[in-house]
Amino acid sequence: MFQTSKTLRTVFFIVGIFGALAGPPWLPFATIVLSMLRWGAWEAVLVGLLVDLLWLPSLFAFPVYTVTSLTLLWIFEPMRRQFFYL
Amino acid sequence: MNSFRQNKQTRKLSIVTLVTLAIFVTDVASGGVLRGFIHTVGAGAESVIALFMQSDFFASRNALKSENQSLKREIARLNTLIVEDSALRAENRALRDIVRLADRSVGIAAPVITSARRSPYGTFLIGAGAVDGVRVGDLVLAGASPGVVVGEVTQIDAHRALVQQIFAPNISTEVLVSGVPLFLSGRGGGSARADAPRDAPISVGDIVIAPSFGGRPIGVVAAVEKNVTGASQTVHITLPVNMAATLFVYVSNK
Repeated sequence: MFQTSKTLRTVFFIVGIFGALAGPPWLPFATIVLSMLRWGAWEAVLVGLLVDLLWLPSLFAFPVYTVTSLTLLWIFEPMRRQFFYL
Repeated sequence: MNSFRQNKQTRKLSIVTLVTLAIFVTDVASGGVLRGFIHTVGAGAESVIALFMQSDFFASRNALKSENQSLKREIARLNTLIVEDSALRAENRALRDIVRLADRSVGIAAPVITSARRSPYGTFLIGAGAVDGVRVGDLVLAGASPGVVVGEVTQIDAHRALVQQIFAPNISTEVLVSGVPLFLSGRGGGSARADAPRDAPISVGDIVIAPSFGGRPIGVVAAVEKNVTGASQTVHITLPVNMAATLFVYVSNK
């Protein structure tokens, strides 16, 4: 069970990186949301940061993906504690 | 879950948050050094994926895709010729007015190295940078001469530049359509919208010109929705160039 969880988390991360570099914008967003729902994955925050550093139009533009991933990281924490942490 | 583990988890989340913010602030403070490196990685990834997609595994799909893109390019070329012709006629009519089209300026051609559809912010990378003379604020044109403005350079690296599309989401641009000044709001995907007075003489096919871009054309009117109860009409504008099929753009000084 633990191995499956770890594998799935890795797959989401790889898919998120691929989506950030070469896929449609919704792909990294979907992997971030799914990762945050289940694990509070720190690597999903990296995916959001990658999207913003790669595509933001200017230095001071608002980093939507980074802020969204950090927000989801904190917002889903009570739910993760309730349902997934033993 | 006991409080010790809760505190540990909270501490972990806090560290992740602080590190992420630190990375972002460091990049901003350094003037975009980190994102310059990531642009290089992104351009490289695009090349690798393009090589992979051209392999035999995707042969039949590639043939159809190639034909599809070829046809789209032809349509885009014909649409651009129509826009060019209409733009030249509009210039002739407007000779007594103040506005003039400042075309044929000095610039360089640059390859489009990432698809405009990949970015959630309406940006794409081109293969020309500071070394090639590209500067922040330069206009990016596509299509046959004099070309249609499709974007503006917002970031530059040594050999690459990031271009923000004119019609990127939530980007506002002041334009003229049939002599009527409007504020155009980008909606992404090569389309934009503007609200015009109800009695404004705007019709489908009218050329959209941006005074802030030297009076160059930036689009055509695709549809006009008249509000029967209100005092305005909604003008839908589209880019007459298919950015998905555009291989090269022309970077010109503003």
